[in-house]
Amino acid sequence: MSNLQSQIIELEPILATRSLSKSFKDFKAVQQLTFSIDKGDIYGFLGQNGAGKSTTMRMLLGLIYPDEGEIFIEGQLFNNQNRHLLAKIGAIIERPDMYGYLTGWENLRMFATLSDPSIKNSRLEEVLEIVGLRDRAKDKVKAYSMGMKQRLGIAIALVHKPELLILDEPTNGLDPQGIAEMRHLILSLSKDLNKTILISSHLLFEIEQIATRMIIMHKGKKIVEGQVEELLNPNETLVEVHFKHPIELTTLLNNTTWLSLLHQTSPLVAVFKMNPSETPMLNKTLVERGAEIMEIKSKHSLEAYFLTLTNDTSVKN
Amino acid sequence: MIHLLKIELFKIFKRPRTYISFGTITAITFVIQLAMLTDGKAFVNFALQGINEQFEIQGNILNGYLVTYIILQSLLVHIPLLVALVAGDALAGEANLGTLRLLLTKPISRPKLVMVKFLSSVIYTFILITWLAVVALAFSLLLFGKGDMINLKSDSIILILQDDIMWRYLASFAFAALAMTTIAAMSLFLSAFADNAIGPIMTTMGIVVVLTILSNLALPLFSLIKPYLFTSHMIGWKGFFDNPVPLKSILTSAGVLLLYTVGFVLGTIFYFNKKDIKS
Repeated sequence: MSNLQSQIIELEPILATRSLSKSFKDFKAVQQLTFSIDKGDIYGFLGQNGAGKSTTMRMLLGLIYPDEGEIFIEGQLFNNQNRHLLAKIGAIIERPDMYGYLTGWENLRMFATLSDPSIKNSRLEEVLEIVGLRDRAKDKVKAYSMGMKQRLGIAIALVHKPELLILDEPTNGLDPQGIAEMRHLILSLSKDLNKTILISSHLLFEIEQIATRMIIMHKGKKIVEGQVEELLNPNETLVEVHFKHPIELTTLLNNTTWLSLLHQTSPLVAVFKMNPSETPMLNKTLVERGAEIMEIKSKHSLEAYFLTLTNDTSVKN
Repeated sequence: MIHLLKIELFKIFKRPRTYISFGTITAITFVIQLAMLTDGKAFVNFALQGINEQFEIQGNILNGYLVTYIILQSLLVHIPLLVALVAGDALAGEANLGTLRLLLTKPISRPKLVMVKFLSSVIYTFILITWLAVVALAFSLLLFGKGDMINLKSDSIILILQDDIMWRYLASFAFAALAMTTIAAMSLFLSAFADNAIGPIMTTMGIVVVLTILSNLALPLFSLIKPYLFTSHMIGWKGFFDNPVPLKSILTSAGVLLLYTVGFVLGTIFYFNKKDIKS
């Protein structure tokens, strides 16, 4: 491969879709979805249940055929005729289901051979070390916990050294410690092994801590796509104020600019959409006007942003 | 392709369920052999009641060849269930287990996967029939010894000399393997439509039972369709115990079974290649 060719491949998104759509009878699961993933990204795929995340991931892996649109893997059109492009991808879709009557090693050996028959046992040992399963490799998978199955799933996804990992809800069914371990593992795959990762989860807090870029889907449509830092604009933080007694805020804040920032209110709680640096000023105004404040907290998180966005969209729809 | 096939065979023969079939065949065969050891002479005398009055029959009538024929008559009807246990599970079982989606995220083509599933089912079927041959023929010969074989038909008696029998058995087992390959192909075809193995296994048995009944009904309406039912041709192995052997009829039956097999495999490839994997 010439230098120019390799530079072109470097610039090419590792995965891209153009106007991807899929319906199941009358249900439009994914509509006109266009997005791209650059090399090195940890790309968060967010959306409520039924938003179309899993359907999209299945289309990206050739499990489900799109009704319309195209998928490109490193710039090459992916369809049923060139499934060899899947060698560039490792994936776990939904649950990490494997053959329970086989050992972890046997499962890994089998799927490694399916990806590339030339993969040596030393590579298997290497990935088992990465996911922390080396000591349990000879145990039957039916004896594994959900966390161990997830880690074996990641070993299977990693074993053929793919450039892109597609992980659909990898923290599903894990306990808090398992979730933390999985997060650590995913971050190290990106940082230490330089993998590009597409990850979906309904645990948005997890994605916020992992992803560099993200797409938010709702009812099969893309709502927003971009850098997590940009999407989590600190000037748009939600500040929640808890009062000691029920209060009529519209009267209390009459003739102030704060009223325009009021996002949501109930007798004991008010939410302002504002720059958090202005929180002391808000506090001062409220106290001066006789409000007794119990607590002020910032809801600066992707979850708040996501919920606001999807709720707003629902209202618009 | 060879790597894929090795993997499929590894999965089949690592699974405890696979050995149910071998255990069942062994158990039933031994039960029949035991029954023939204890009551075989009375059974043979009863069967030859009318003939004994007109002919003088000498020698070891209750020999290994006759016992094997009796075993095959009773057992070959049930082998389709044992074949369906594996072939019906090939795609639907993977879907039910959730491993189908993991398999299909690997860079292998769907037609190739179907072909490998079919070939592995065929290899399993051949091994099963070979096992049947070993436990039925080898153990019967060991227990009952050799001798000329009397094949009692509804309208005639066929005497086959012991030196002329072994090739007939080998040919019969080969034909039975072909017939069971058709069953495997049908089970695999049904398996492509389901996400649970029970459905294709039961449907295979349902189809075999219904078509066998239709094949055996002596009604003019069904006579028209009988030549086109694969179940009518599955009993073609019996032809090898006729004298002379109806080679043309056997080859026709083999051809029909082969056509059905190819049809089922192509149907599976066509459907599975278009199927959305939602399991």
